[in-house]
Amino acid sequence: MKIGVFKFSSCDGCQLAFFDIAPEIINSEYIEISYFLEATSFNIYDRFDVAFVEGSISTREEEERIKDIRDRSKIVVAIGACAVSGGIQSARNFGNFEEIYSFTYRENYFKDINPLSKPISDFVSVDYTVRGCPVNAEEIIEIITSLLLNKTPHINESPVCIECKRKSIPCLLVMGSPCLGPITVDGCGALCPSLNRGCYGCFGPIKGANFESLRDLFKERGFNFEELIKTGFNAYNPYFRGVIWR
Amino acid sequence: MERYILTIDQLEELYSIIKDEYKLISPTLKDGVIQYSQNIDFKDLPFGYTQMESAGFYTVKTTDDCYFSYIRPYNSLKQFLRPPKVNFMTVRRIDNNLTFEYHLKYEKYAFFDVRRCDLKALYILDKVFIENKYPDIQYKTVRENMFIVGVNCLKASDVCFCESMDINFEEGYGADIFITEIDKNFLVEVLTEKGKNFLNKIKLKKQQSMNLNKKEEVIEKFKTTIKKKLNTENLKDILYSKIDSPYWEELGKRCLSCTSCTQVCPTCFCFDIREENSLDMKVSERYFVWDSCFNQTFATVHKFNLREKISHRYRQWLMHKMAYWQDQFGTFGCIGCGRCITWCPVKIDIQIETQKLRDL
Amino acid sequence: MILQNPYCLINGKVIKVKRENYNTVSVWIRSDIKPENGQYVIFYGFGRGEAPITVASYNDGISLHTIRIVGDVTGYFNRISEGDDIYLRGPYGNSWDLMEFEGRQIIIISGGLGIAATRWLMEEAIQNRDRFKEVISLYGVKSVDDLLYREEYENWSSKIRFSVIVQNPSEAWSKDVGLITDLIEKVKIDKDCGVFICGPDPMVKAVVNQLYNIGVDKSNIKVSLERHMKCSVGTCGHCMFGPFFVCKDGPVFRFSDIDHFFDKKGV
Repeated sequence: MKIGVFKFSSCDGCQLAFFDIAPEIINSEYIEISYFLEATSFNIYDRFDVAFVEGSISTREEEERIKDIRDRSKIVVAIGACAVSGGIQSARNFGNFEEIYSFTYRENYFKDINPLSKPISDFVSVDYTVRGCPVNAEEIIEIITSLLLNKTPHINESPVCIECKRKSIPCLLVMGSPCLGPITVDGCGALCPSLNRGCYGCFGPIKGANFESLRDLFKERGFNFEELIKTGFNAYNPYFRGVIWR
Repeated sequence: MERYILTIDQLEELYSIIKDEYKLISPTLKDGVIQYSQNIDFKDLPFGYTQMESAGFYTVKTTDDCYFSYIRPYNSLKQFLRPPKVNFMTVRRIDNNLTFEYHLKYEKYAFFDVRRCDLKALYILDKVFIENKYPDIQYKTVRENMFIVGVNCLKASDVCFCESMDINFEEGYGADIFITEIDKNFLVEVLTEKGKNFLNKIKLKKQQSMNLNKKEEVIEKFKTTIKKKLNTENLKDILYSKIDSPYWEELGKRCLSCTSCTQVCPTCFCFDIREENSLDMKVSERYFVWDSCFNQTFATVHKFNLREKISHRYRQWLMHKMAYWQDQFGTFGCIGCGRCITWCPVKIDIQIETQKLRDL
Repeated sequence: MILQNPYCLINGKVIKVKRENYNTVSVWIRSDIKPENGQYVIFYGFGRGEAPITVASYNDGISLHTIRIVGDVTGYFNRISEGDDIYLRGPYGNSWDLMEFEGRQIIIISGGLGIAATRWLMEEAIQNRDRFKEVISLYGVKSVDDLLYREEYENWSSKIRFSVIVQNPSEAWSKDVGLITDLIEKVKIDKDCGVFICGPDPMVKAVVNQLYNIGVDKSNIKVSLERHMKCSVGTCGHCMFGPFFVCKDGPVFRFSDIDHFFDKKGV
């Protein structure tokens, strides 16, 4: 299986998941890493069985490049909050672009920057998504082994709450803190709640979750639902768009 | 039945000899909640604490009335009898042949301070996992090797409604010994041989003088503190007639489908079977993992979710606890411990909703 | 007493593989399972997990299974060939009871892949043909490509009344066109007949309503249901349907028992 690992607008952190499992990848006779700039100097940009894509689409050049990768790849997997939802940089999607741009960069620093940071699924069809900021290596293994077996990978769709309960972590919402756990995909091991911090949704929203009911609860408690989502790297996720905002 | 009166020091002695022999699980105050935990010192039992619980609300405060001033802990015994993730099988592939290794890892547990609701929950889980044509060996092995110290509750919280769910206050529900705190001393009733052996190890006087009515008084007093009531008369048939009620839609609008109720419920037993494969495709580990009927993948047939709406999933849960369970196992699936009420972020109260449905 | 681990898999040998159509294969397996008519087994595929598959026929240690390759486990059957080892457990569930309707008219109704669950029933009815007043078997599919067990039709037709109907025949099809209910309309049905159905839920619903309107008692209708069966021993909860665990209380149900729950969405 020829694998390519690609980076767009992102911090490179999700690619590190591949380093976590590097010995297993190297020892597997079924896997060939043919393109992975962060890991090797020997890269062949040709055809790929699977393309793992990190990062959001933020520039014109990236729009073209993701389409080219799609054309070259049998399977495209979006990895991490940037590729799946637009990432932390999509915070600009909710403000005044000109203001944010001139505050952040000197004039014309990036000429072709897009006003919106978008998930790759806005430009190409995506076969599977691996959530998280960063993703965890177990889910990368699940994707690769499932594709080797030609089966659908098991991708978490249950909320963070289930992980809190498995670990006997008391519910932060009940204990009085804002938490997006009920509408957020699990897979992080309830990392923040285990440190007594509410989930801010870095794994992104669950499709069809009851956003309205949680928003009502936040309102009742005096918490700002929209603000918390905007800090969670997944605000521009397609599941939020059209429900929480356009 | 042998009965003894223990002082607090003698209770501590009993605690430590149980701890010597078993992996002891007992309640303690951790992360702001009273929860079952392993290897707790006697001094770290939550004596003198009490929970204030109501729908979607939890806090603890201190009181000096008595030792066993708290109610059942946040988590339940299923955490230990059927842990959240169990590796039950390893499959190895060599060339094209498979070898199977079945795992039976279990601990010799003792549970100190189990309340009647949680004891009844075990009795209900036994019907699922043991009184089955194919008994679950993991559960059965743990169950047969465990030691239980039951404790009578002194005061109910606002979410408790065990009395409505057919709890029998005369019944030991499989506990080896049962403790009732009476005026800061402890009446210990020995219910099994295992229990007798432990008590023989400490120097004790057999209870002679204490008036047994005192225990009845404690229980009767406890019952008066249970404010929540559910009318369960003919409940199954009434609920069966409400399957089409539009009220489920109302519940579906509030329910987050967050799975919390099912995960804190001591009797919710549903699990998933998952495969985790190694990248060299030589080893596949198989796991039991707690699942929930609120998960979108739970009731799928060929990837189509039969319970698409949250209202369908909430109905499945409530109907299972309060109605289906009776057809399946001859009891309610609910023991009235109120955990699902306390830990529902959006304050859905199963007792209120069941009552509403029956009154509709 | 040493407890049997219900998750222990046993070894079977693939005796024969036959491609039925574009997405379905039949495999004959020799193993130690001793199934009854209507039961199912669980197949294991390495790294994929398990899937419940009905026993389509059984004779002298060899069971027939007809599998539509759609799921993650069933994908395994794409690559299977004669002589392969296969791992399974079971049999599980209850069975059809043909003899309940001795002396009466028997109607077997199958939709799509559902015929895998009724094939053995037909074979049993044929073997015991003289113990029933009449045996009718009706089989409906969406397109001609979906037809299973084509080589058997001639044999079956010679012994019982066996008819096939196709909903959308794209290619040449000289026989009936339409829904299974159209086929039922053409049959003279005794009110005291015994009915056995296996097919998709909407088909079951339509057929039961039609038969009920003719005057057939719902307690004389047996259906085999499909749900998400995982553990198969009534503990994982996935297959729950109303108060029933389809894996152990079913897959065969007397329709009058499930009537209250059957057409309720999301039960």
